[in-house]
Amino acid sequence: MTHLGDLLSAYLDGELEPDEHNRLVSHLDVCGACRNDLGDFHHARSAVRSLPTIEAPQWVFGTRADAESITRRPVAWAAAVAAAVLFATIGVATWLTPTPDLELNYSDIANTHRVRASQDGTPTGARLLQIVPFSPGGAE
Amino acid sequence: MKTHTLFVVAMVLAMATTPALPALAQDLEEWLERAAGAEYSGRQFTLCDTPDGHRAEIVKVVQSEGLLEVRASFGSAVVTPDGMYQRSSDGSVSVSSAEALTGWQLAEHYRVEFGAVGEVLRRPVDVLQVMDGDLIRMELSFDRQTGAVLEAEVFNADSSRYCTSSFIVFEPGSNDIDPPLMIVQVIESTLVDYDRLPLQLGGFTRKDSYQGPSGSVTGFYSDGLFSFTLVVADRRITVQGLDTTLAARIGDAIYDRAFTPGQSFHSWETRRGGYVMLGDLPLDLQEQVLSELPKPGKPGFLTRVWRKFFG
Repeated sequence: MTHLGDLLSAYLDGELEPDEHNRLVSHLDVCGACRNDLGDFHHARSAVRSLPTIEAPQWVFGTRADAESITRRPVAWAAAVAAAVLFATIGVATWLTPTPDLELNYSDIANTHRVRASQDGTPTGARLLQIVPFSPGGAE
Repeated sequence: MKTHTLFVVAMVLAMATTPALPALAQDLEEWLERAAGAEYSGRQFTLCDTPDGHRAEIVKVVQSEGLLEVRASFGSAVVTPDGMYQRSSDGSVSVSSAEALTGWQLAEHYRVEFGAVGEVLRRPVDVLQVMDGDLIRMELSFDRQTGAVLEAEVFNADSSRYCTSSFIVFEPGSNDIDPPLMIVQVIESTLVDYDRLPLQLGGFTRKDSYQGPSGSVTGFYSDGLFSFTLVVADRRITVQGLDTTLAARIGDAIYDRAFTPGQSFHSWETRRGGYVMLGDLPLDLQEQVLSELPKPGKPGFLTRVWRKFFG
């Protein structure tokens, strides 16, 4: 078995499988350097765990909502800017290229009306005034 | 004694040669039916006094066997019980027919009175007046012999004359008219329930409505005496083929307006879209109808955006 390396850390954390654990223990029995390394690991690990826990000051995160929004804020800003650009584009496009007019022909409207009027039987419609002005624009 | 005898003979002859006339007033429809059956030819002069000046036209008119033909330099039109066809001066023919509308009915606010016996073109006529309250709205002079309407006058609310249509040449008798061979275009009524075409508008009743081009909707309104067509679209309407329109202030709004002999034309844009109104209404009735329709105005930004993307 070669020197133990990372297995020592796992051994101290109790994460080795039973057969690995047995083999490591057997090796430690015959390897002084490995025992020294194990001692160093153990000491360092104990030193870290002995450090006191310190609460982070409030000004670091503000409210919880603020803290959560820190990760969202760039996305929100990007969406807002994108929406503004899109809105402005639509506005300019609408302004510059208005919806085309519906084009109708006067004689078509007038003819349709005369047909309707002649079928309706209004006195002026059927026989007199409605029939006369079927010239586009009329005459002055 | 001799004079008395001559008078009696003259009266008997007059009664014998005069066709049976329909009863007055409520029987206006009978007078009009008799006029529609008259046979004659002649020239008819129409003159309208509009705020934009006079509009006048002279056309040749022939009526025979239930057909009415109108001829002018720009073409001819024939009206039949089934529809109307037109032949343009370039030879093109268009034929139209509308689905039968419900029967003719004079609005209740009108009443018909016998005016007087008169003369038009030295021919005896019976004059009927269509009254609207104390106002004479229309005066019709029926030829006693043939029943034809020799003269019709339309009046505005201030009793000023709006239009006169009268024969300047009139010859009774049958004539040949080439009847239309076939109806090639049928205008179909759809009777859509469209909120921008109300059933009642300015005292007029919507007789029918039908789809127009490019999503527009058209309604035909009548009160039995006058009629108009209203075209509504979701965008501004541009009308081609009309020589000149003038900006006219009517009420507190400005419309594009034009007159032809016997017809008025208005178009305008509202916040919701475009409107066109065309009809034979006297001036005050034009204003009355327009006052009940959306006023001219420019569409809002969001409306324009909506139209841009969704038509």
